[in-house]
Amino acid sequence: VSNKVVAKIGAAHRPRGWKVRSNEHKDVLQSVRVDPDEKLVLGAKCGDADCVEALFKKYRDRINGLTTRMCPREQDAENLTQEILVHAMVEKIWQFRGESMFSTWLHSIAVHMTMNFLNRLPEPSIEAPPELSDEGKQSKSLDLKQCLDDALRRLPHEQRLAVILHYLEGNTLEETADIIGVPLAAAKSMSRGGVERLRRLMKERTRS
Amino acid sequence: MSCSEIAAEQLHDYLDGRLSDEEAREIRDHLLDCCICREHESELRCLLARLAELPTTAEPKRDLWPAIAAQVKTPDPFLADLSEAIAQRRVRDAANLVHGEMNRIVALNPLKENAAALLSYFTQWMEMGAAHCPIMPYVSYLKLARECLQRFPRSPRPRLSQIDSAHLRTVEGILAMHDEEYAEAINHFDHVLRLGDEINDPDLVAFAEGAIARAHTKNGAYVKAENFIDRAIGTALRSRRKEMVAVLSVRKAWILFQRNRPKEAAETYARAETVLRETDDHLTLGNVDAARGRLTRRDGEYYAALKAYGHALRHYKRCGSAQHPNLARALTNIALLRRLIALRLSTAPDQELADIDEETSRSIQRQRKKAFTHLRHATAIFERERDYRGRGSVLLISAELHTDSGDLDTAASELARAYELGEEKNDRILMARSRLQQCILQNTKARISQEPIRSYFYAEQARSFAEGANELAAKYTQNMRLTAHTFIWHGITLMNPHLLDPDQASKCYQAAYDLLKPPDANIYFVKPTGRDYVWDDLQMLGVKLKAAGCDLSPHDSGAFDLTDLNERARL
Repeated sequence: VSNKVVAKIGAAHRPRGWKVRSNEHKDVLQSVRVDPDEKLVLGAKCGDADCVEALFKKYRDRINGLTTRMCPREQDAENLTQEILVHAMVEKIWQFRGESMFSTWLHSIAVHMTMNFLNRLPEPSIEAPPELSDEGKQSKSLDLKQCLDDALRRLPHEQRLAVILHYLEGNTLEETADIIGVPLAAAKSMSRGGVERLRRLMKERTRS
Repeated sequence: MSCSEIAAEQLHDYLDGRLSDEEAREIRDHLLDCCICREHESELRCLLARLAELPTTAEPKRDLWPAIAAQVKTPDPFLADLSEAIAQRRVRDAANLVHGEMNRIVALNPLKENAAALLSYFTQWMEMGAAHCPIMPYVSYLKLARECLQRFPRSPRPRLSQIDSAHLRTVEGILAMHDEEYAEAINHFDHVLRLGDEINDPDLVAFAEGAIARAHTKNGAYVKAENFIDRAIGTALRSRRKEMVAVLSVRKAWILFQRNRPKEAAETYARAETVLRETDDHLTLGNVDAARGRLTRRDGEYYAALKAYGHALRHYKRCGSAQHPNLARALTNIALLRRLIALRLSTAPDQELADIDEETSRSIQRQRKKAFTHLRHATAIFERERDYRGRGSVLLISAELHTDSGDLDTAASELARAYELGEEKNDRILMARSRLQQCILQNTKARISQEPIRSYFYAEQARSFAEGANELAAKYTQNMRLTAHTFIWHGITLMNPHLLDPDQASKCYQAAYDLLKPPDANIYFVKPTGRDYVWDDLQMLGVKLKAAGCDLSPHDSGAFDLTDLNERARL
């Protein structure tokens, strides 16, 4: 939606004499943004298996990507992905009220359930050597990407989550805060604290 | 700009593109000059670029679909609509939905899917004002809910899923609240909160937190209640349920009022009311008006309070039931107001009726008669609902009215019954209130008694009742006004000529004064919490102490100005 259209829509909803805030167009933009999953969600709410499958296929890899990065074991990650998808697309779908995008809603459920799962595990230790994934074990020379991947695994859960949502997935800080369910300032400090820690870890790694 | 002025935060804002042109230019200029910051920036830039390249998706190694497909089921649109209507406080819509599916609720089968959720939403709907409405003669919705709950197997219920277990615990909690078993209710709702993280249902969690706050309020544990109500409001705010926030705020305002913060309470009520006016939630709107009546009563504005209670009654009647306990509570409060008005009309609290002119005397009688009518109506509702706390309040006010009109024996037996009721349910507030009234009654007896020995005996009894009331209120409740009132009457009792102990009495006076003082008031304030009967009693004690030569400064509450009181009553 172009800014011109947005300004027009905004004007129609504004009472006379109402001053336009500089960021008002963003609110309007938010309200006219159409959720691409709207029809699929409607179908899923009615118990249509095809719609649920379409949503499942669309979001499976993304959710699994998040859980794989967050969980120490791949098997746990897959089980968690399954739990999240069943919970969101089958059990709780009728509670989705369309106040946010479906993807944001699904993400916040995924984040919530992942953090619940991780809270039962100890925080990763910064000093401990990184746990190598299977691929890492096979290739002895760790390339830079692998290094970064491992360093990421050594961040505390909350910081890692914020870094993944903001820097890897490209959500804005506001969206990240919304998904995690914390104030913007907290999301900022979590993601930036994480990145600074990553920078130090990577620096140590290149030195060694 | 120097390095120290560039916080790491600003560098991140710069990289995220969150700075204004001017600020970004300043950072760029600094980076040209400073090699440390330049290195920091280039490291971060490189790191962010690499992070963005990392894959964000990962295909699961096994096929997850079959497990999910097996669980796809046709959802229940009725439950979705009902839960939504409840969260948005659309009372009429929710009632229409429930009535449309009444057969399903009556024939509830616990083995069927969503049975626990159905019963839970039904009871939550009931809590919006319909609980006491009769479906047919002698069967209310409350009775139906109890009957439906019994169809589920007794706890422990191993076969239930977590969400079903949370729903059933919610039902059990609500029913325990109706039975006035608050400790049991807290236990049930606490279980729901423990499951909170697993069930991921913020509406249910907010409901449970709000209910725990309500149970603590009923027990007089206002500090705990405030903690829980703040948690509940936070949960409702996070899930953007403004109507729910408003309903919970009404509960919070009541707690603030009880904690002697009337100004904050009035503001909270006003904020909640603006949201609730958009809904048809007459029960909560009635509660707001009733609370307003209570606030104005505390300021001594008895006629304004009567008007507010009138509004509350109108709202309660629109709930669809003339049997709601809140309606009976409002009637009890109106009776108390009429008694207080009659008391003010009779100039001094204990003056003989013969000294008053005929017109005033008739008006006093009229107020007392109306008060008794309200109490009879309230008693009928409380008896029917087996509400012991309500019956206790009615007995206390009735005893006060009997004391005022000189029927001291009836008053004594009513107070003894009220104390028994409190003891039966271990309700310390009711017990303390009964003891306080008994102390006041014995004081009256001591004053009017002609024989010195009898008078001494009554005064001794009054002292023991005052000590009992004070212990109950101060030790077991957090009700500051009640505690203050017990201190005041302990002091008044000690000023009885037979017991005369001005030192101890002035200590009581100061303790009461400190309790009634609003937390933000300085020492020179004139009107601590308004001029209601507690304030009048404090002044009476003050006058007695001054007459005995005690120096009350800096706690002097001002002169006991009866002419002023009389004028206000007439207005």
